[in-house]
Amino acid sequence: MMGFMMWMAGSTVHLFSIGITISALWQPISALQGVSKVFEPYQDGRTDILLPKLAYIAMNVAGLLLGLWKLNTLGLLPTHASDWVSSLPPPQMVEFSGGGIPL
Amino acid sequence: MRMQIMMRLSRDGAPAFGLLLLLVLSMLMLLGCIWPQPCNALYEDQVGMWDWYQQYIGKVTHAVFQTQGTGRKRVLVATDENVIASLNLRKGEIREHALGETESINALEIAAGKYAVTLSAGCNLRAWNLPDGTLIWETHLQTAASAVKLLILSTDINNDRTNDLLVVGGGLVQAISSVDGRLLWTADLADVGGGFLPQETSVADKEHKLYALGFVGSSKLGVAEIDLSTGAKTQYKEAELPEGFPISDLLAVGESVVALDLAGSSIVSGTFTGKEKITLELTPVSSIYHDVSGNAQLLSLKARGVFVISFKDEVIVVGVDSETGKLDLVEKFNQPIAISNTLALSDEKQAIALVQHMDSDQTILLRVIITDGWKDEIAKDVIKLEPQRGLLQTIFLNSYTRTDKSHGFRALVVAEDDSLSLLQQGEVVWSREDGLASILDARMAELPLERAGVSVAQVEHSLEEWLKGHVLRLKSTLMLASAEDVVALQAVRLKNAEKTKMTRDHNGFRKLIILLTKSGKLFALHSGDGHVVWSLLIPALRSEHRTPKPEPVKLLPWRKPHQHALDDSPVFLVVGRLGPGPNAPGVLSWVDAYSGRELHSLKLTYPIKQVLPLPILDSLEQRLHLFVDGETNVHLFPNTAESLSLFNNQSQNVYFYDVNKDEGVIKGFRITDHIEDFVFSTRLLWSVVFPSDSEAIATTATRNSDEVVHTQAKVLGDRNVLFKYLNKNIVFVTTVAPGPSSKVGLAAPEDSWLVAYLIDTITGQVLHRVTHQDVQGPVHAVLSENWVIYHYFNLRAHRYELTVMEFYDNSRAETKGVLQYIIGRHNASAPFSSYTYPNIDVKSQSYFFTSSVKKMAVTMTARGITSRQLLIGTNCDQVLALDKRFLDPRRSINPTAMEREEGILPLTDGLPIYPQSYVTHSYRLEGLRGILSVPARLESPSLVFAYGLDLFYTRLAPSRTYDSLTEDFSYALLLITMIVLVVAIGVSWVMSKRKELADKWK
Repeated sequence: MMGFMMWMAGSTVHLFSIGITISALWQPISALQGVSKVFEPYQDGRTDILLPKLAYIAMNVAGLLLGLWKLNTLGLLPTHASDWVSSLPPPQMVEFSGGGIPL
Repeated sequence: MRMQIMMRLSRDGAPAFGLLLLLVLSMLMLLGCIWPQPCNALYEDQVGMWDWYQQYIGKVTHAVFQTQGTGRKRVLVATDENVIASLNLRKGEIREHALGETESINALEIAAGKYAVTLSAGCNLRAWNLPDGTLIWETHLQTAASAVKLLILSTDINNDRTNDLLVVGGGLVQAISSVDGRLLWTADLADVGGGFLPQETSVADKEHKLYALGFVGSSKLGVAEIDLSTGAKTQYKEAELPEGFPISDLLAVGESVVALDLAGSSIVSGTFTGKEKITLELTPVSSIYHDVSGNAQLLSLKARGVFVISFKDEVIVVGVDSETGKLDLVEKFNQPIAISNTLALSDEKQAIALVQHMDSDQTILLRVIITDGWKDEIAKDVIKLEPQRGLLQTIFLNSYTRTDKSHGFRALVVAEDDSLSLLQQGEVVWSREDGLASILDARMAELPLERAGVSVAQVEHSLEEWLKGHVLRLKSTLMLASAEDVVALQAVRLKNAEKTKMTRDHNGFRKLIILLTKSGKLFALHSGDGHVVWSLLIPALRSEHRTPKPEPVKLLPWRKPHQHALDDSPVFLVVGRLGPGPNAPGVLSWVDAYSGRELHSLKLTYPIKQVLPLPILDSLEQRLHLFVDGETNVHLFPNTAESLSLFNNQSQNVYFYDVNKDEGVIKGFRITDHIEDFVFSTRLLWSVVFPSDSEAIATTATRNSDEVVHTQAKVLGDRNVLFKYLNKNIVFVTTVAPGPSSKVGLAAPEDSWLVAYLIDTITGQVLHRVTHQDVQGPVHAVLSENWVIYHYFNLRAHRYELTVMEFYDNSRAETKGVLQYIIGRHNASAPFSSYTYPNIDVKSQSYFFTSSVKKMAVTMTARGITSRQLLIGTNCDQVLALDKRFLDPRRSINPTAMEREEGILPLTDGLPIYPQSYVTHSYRLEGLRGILSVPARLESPSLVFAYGLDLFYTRLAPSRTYDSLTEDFSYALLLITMIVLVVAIGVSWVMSKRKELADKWK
């Protein structure tokens, strides 16, 4: 579902694609935060929940990666040199020179 | 922060990064919804909101009054800026014609009672219709001499019942019909006698005769008599000058001739009419006036029987007896006086006005005297002039008839600062600062900070007015305003008192415009409405006792207080020369920009060839300056021990260069030894010699030292980076094929070329060189950031072209890894030295441009983030703003999606000129000479001041006003909306409570 929504949103930065991407990132993160809560009802000491828990985490991490990939296609991840130098101030001059046509 | 991100979007077009930005972006989008729609051009009702326009005419050299007949009373003037103007006598309003740079006006007269006739460039005679200034006829004469006279005859030559004109000059006398400008006859005086050179003419109307007087060789005086109706030479007489009389000057006074010898010690005089032979009489000047102090000069009064000799300090009026030619002293003055033209009151009576300054420069004594006998004084007024006008130079006298049939007088006076005033009945009727037509240099200064104790003009709004304005604005927003309301609203907007306050504003829109004029006067104009805040006739630049008049040259910001010295006033330095010519010694004057007073001045013993404002400030925030003298030694200012120690730390990195246009050489120097106090010697490091047989320097351009550049990186659509080559020490030089073929149509395409050079001024290295074949000058160039744009004429295409070159530094682009940038280990932030190996990539493109150019400049903004606009002063004396993105060398016919995202336009061969992009909208700035652009405190706007004869000031926003709300933003509407919302919330909350309570009772 989320993948479909992402595909629909396209790869240009606008309100819709940003909303989709935020939710695509937020959902796995909130799910990961609440892992213990999700598995609380099954924690009775008899069933081994480690494997399902790991599977759940892996799925959510995959979702998160999908969200990050979407973020990257939108061009919002600082992975290029241009992201780091775009506001680099001009260099200082060592020498000074003046003059021109005499007054 | 938010502002910068937005600007990055608007400028580079590349998407920003980072999770955090998402939030900001969404905020921006919300903001975008409520953002007012920006506009590119100006709406009709915005004219005059933040622009103003003033017209000036220049120093008046000729004036004639037209007070008879119907129509408004006016005075016609011609000026040294080649303007013919008609001024209303009541208010001084003007209508004008500018003749252009080459047409200096020789004479202005009124002919046939209805035409103003001008003689310009020595040969162009034109008649202008008096009420509306339309051209009636135009005649091109043969004379091309510089000393040409136009005489209005009081006789009719060709029997068309109008009196005709006479043009005398270059050995020719030409009679012209004043009705249609037809040439009636020509008399050549060069062939009458061996070496006869006519210098003076005298017209005897009653006898229909013209006398031309002049020297024959160096020992004789000749008089030629010409019949006015036919132009025939009827008589020619000669007279021997006394032995050993070195001739210099000659005057015709009525029917007498007066000549002065070179030493100014003796005068020869005699009458030339009637008799067969001229008898000359020698009179020593000492017999007329004993205290002679040399350096004498003859001045004509064009009056019968009197003339003036002016000495170094004194002026004497000498009377000539018309019968005997005897001379006698009439009056003497021990101070400079100004003498008017003669005014005929009746057939016999002639009047003349004399102006003397009283104890101060400001008060004058104006006397009107009958010239015959020099006895009757018919008017005497003591008049107080406005301050800072200097001595009066010229007077033009005119009379009117009072109700009691007596004569009243009005006088048009030109003062030392080229200002023009009309005096009448002991008062100044109006006064115009026409010196502002000849601006040499312009700068801007900040106004004082607003706080207690600082003078603030009494313009604060009352609450009532403020409310009224907002109610009107609200009405207009809600479309409820009536026609009167719209007019009232416009008046409120135009008279906005905010803009003329004498303090600094938050956005930095209010500035002082400091202007240096040719007359040596400094003006401070308020940028809000252009009124003169103060003016100063710089004392150091005034002439004393007939020494050559000092010439102002340059205006420099000496001190710009901005950090710890905020309480101090900015100081400007005026650089001048004590006389004409480049080798005259220099003079410096420091002027306080708030009080308008000269702080101190200094006369130098050496000429100033160059001024180098160094990037070093002392503890008083004074900028260190170097002055290069004639022997290429440099002199350091200010003369303090602190500045010397500051300079000594840096002197090994200080260089300068000198462009010699005549020899086609550019030389680079460096500072070497400290010779004496504040004087350093220099050494020639390099020189670039252009081949004189194929290249002549046409123009040079450098980067503005105040220019601020935000970043050195240019991010492309594909997220690659180009590093701009931001060397400040470069000069762009263009050379063209030598020869006088600068006019279009005179040069063949194959003999014309243009070579453009980019030269490093530290090492003299030619960084780039390109040749354009088949093109010719004049070349105009502007260099900014990492690009240069130049304008020239293409002879093959028969069109003007603009070429853009952008320079990118490949050596900085070597580090590619993101990680290196993240941890800050890259070479892009290393200081730049010209001694490193340059690796420059040049991108270039040329476009056709339909207009020729007088001046080019570029907009400046506070942080250099906003995209730039090219300001082009067109040949029609308007200023055109052209976006730099039209001149992007990366434009291609089919830009890719990435390039489109970046904002690159598809390639076209020409550049578009939209009528809306004329920043001067409907105004014309006659004789456009300069365009000054300075930043405001806000980033988006750029303040532009353009000057020629006329002045124009406006505010531009090259990337639209993205960082502020528009002036029209209705705060009242916003406030009302918020109040309504709060009330609605309150009411609905109370209502829902009641509803809940009622439900619970059920």
